[in-house]
Amino acid sequence: MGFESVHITSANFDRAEAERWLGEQPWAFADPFGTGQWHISGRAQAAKAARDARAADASRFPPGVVVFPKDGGLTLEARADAATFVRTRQFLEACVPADAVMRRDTNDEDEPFDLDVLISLELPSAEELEDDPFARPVTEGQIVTWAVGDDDDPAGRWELEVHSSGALHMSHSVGTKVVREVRKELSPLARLAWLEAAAHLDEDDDEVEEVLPPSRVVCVTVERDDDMWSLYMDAQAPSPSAAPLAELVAQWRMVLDKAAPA
Amino acid sequence: MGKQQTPVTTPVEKTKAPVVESNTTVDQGSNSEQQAALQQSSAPSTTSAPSTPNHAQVGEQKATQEAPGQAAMLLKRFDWTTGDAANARSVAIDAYTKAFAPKYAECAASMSAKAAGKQARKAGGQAVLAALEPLAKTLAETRANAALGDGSALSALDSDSKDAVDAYEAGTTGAKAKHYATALNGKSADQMASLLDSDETGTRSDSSLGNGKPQWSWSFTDDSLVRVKPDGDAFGDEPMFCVEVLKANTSASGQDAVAFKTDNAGKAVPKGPGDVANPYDQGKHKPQFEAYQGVMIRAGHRQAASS
Repeated sequence: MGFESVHITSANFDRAEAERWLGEQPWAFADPFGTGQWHISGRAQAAKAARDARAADASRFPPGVVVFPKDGGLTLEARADAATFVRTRQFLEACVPADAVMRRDTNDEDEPFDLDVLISLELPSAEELEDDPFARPVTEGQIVTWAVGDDDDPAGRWELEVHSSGALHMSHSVGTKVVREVRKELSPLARLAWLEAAAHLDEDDDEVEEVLPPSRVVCVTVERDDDMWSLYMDAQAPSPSAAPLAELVAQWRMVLDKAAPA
Repeated sequence: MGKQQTPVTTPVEKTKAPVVESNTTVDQGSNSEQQAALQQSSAPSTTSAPSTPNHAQVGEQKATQEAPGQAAMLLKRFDWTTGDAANARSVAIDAYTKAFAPKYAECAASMSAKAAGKQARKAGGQAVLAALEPLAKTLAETRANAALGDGSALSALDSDSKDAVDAYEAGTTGAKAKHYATALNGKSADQMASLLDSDETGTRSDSSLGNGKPQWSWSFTDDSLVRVKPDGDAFGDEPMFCVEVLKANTSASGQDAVAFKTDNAGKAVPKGPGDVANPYDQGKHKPQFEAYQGVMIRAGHRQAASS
């Protein structure tokens, strides 16, 4: 298990270095109210939401680990899941000197600082905590989604989404059932081609002039941090700005259609 | 809401009979559409006034066309596996349509059809999320409460903690915790301190939290522990308390020695989020992950009455 509160003391603790280190982590933020406290989350996406929650209410921090760095040591309070303890461990490993002592929770005596004692949970690796590129709302890069059809339509809904990092996800679903699904990492060249084609998309190129059956309506959606817009067009007559992307999508669609059923 | 299967041949902005009023602002982007509407209309017009698109009707048509796809996109932000996914979809489509259509009509009166579509789409998306998020969170909270109720919330505990739960339920440990779990309900921090100080079987020790807020603790020989934070902690200024049971014969100390907390009925609950197997993906379904976690936290981190 982890801890709920701990005081860590060391004459060699470098407060400025600890704050600099935390400031470089996407999963930590300095209290926007300038109290000198820091908040740690398990993931960058969670940290962004936690910062917003803190900014909206100065009387509390959202769940996570709150760090109070000071000269000669630091204290931490935790209401944290395993992912947050992983990040806390990374922080303490990097910034707490070997000669430190700690006093945990209700204990009334100092003991040598020992990370394995302080956080003895079976923890996931830091690599497992990388943000899912398709998690919404988007906090990093952009996701372009090309979707045709409707879950209720007999032909179903076909969807291709690509994150600017190169992560690709395609699916064909009918009703609530996923018929086929493919996940891939684009090669550097394919990623570049996709990004170039996506850069041509023009929000003003929108308009389906006619009421079309779902299987003929393409909806291209671009999602970025705090921004999302869609471009509707006829599958049989892609908008000019979407033409380069349509060519790539057609190729990927063939890959999906050949994939084994889910 | 029914799915649209409108014939392919009808231009969206060209379907309606000409509107009689002639003083309506002309849609900046629809002069050609107006002409087409006049040419294609089979309804005999009783006046010679130029027509304007019926924005409300167009808004309805466009909303109906877009709603299923937009709903499908936004439904993915939540996990519906324990809920009625079909109902959630209906809610999403309904919310999109109800927000899109009037927004389109309002905007199309003063801007181009494209610009109106963009505004309406944003309004539709916001309405879908506003409708879905409470549903999804309720689903997560219901799931969490069910897990607390049937004990499955404790499934992620280590073996020593599970042994302590068994002993607690059998009445061989934590009798003081069971007593104070209910006896402290509705009391202020000071009232709790008076009550606990008067219990001669308890040993009090005071400490401070990271931000200097005090923490009062009473430990008992039957492995019960009561902690009171009269000024709250970093996660809230409200006075709060925890009633906990320690693992038996453990060499661990601090929270490491705690097996579980108790809720306001004396039932064993996880001591913190780190002891919970949250079924929601923190990245993909964050609102539900947090809602589930919140129920677990509040079960054991209990609020004291104000002084």
